[in-house]
Amino acid sequence: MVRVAPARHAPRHPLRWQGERIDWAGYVFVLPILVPFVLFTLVPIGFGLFVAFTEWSIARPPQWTGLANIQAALNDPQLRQAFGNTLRYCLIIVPSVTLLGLLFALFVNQRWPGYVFARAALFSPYVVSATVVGIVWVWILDTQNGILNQYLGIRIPWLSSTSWSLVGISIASVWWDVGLAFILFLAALQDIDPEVLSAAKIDGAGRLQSLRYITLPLLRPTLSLIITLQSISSLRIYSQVHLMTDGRPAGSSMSVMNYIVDFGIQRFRFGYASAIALMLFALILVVTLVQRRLIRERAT
Amino acid sequence: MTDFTDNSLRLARYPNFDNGLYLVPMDAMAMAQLINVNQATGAGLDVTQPPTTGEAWNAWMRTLTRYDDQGNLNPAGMTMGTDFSATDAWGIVAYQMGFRRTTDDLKTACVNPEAGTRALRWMLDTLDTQRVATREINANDIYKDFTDGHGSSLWIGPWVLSGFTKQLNLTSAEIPLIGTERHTYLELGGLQVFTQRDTSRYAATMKAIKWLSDNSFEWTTVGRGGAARKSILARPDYLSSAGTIRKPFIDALQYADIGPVPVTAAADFSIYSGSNVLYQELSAVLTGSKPVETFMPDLCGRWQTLLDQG
Repeated sequence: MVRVAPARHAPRHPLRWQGERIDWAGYVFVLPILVPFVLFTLVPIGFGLFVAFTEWSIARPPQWTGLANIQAALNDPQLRQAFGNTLRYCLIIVPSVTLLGLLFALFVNQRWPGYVFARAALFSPYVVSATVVGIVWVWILDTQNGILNQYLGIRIPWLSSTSWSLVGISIASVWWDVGLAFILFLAALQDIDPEVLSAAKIDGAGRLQSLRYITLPLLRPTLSLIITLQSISSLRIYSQVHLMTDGRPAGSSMSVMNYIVDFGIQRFRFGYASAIALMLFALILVVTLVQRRLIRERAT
Repeated sequence: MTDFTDNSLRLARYPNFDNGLYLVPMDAMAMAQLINVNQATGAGLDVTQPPTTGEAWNAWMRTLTRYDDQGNLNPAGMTMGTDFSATDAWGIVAYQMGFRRTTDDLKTACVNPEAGTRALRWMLDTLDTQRVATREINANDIYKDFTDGHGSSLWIGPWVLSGFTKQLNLTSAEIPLIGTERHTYLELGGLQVFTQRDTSRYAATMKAIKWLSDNSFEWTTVGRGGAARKSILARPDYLSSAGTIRKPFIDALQYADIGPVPVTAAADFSIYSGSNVLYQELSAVLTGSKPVETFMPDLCGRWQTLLDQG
């Protein structure tokens, strides 16, 4: 008779997790980004979430008010106007940036004479700071002396009219943001296997047919990315509005972010400002999820 | 403390801190009007005799205003816009016509609201009937638009003088009497004091602040606003040191009493704002979003709600 020793579990080694050896070096390398991320992103987010349900003017400790800030926000006509303006910004800027970025990328990808200069010129607005963009475009869009009105032979009060202020800021934003969309589309175009396009050409496909049935479907992941990034950026628009009109005249160009800054920093109502920020976050989340669903990333 | 003017001490109290002093007054800034000399002399006006009455002011504005081929103002007589330059114009004229934002006990909003409506109608008359003021001012940079010559005159405080005088040939005058009593906007500049963990530092801090206040002659003559110290105002060389362009701003201190309303929502009662309750209601009417008749009822209703909060 053979005695079989009872099975024993392998001794638990302090440096193992589910049998795998833990490489502590990896965690050490991640710490320099993880610690600041927790301290300067996650903690403030959590604190902001708490403040949204309080009344806090910074001079005194926060006082819990429950849903009072949210209820006040839902009944605030100026905030409704700001949300409406922000959605309008998104509806103007996102399609414009996407379409122009694609057209510029298709143009540069042809490698016609001057394409190197065009590539630099079309991307360069993106690297300009928001302050420069705001100041320069205030001059360009000036009603009496601005070059846009001068060259077009018109007299539109771009930044001093309730009808045009939002459009004026959108023009500056499109000019600023199109560089990123352009370079992403260009990279995606250059990533398309030229043999696919050659094969289509051999099969008799024209330029437009190749564009429609091969190029655009292959660009779908990039398109989805650009629309998502641009939507988030547009819904959070702040710098251009602050520098060019500060939401005026009569709140016609006010964005939600500007409204948050107005209440939080200028009026010392951090609770109310945080509640509005929470609502903006919810809006951005919903818009992003809907977009990701509608524009699925799978390239056909 | 006894050397500070009564006005400056009154304005240095903050309701959110139980009416305690929250800053040490340094200068008092009253609003007056700046006039572009080049445009005025070009229009044939005598800049040594600026307008001080409503009638004279209207005549000046009509003369200063030019129209281009399409009938657009280029430049307008007055740089008004629909934002903080409009709120202060309305506020000053309304006070001159007898309007008050609250009763003395701070319990009731809007004393003599008819005067507030008359002041609004005066603005609309200036903009649309007489067409000597323009709405087309970029509110975010009204100073740029005035410098560019969109308007020939501007109602403003002395904080702009150092910058403007480098770029424009200007003269100044007190705000004209549009109503029946002289009033103008007053803003207080000062040194704010914050609590410190090491309380032994307070003595040295206050010593430094006192030195700055005692030596604020240059700041309150050629620096920015008028003096908040009686001893400085009484100096025989005070007015001559301030320079001619600052004289109207200093003279206006005698009747500059449209300051902050000492309630917790003081910011919403200011007549110099591009974002508060007054701005929201006024700009809505000036841009045609709301009718004139709703202005005073809506404004007074919102102000009353804020007063009820304490």
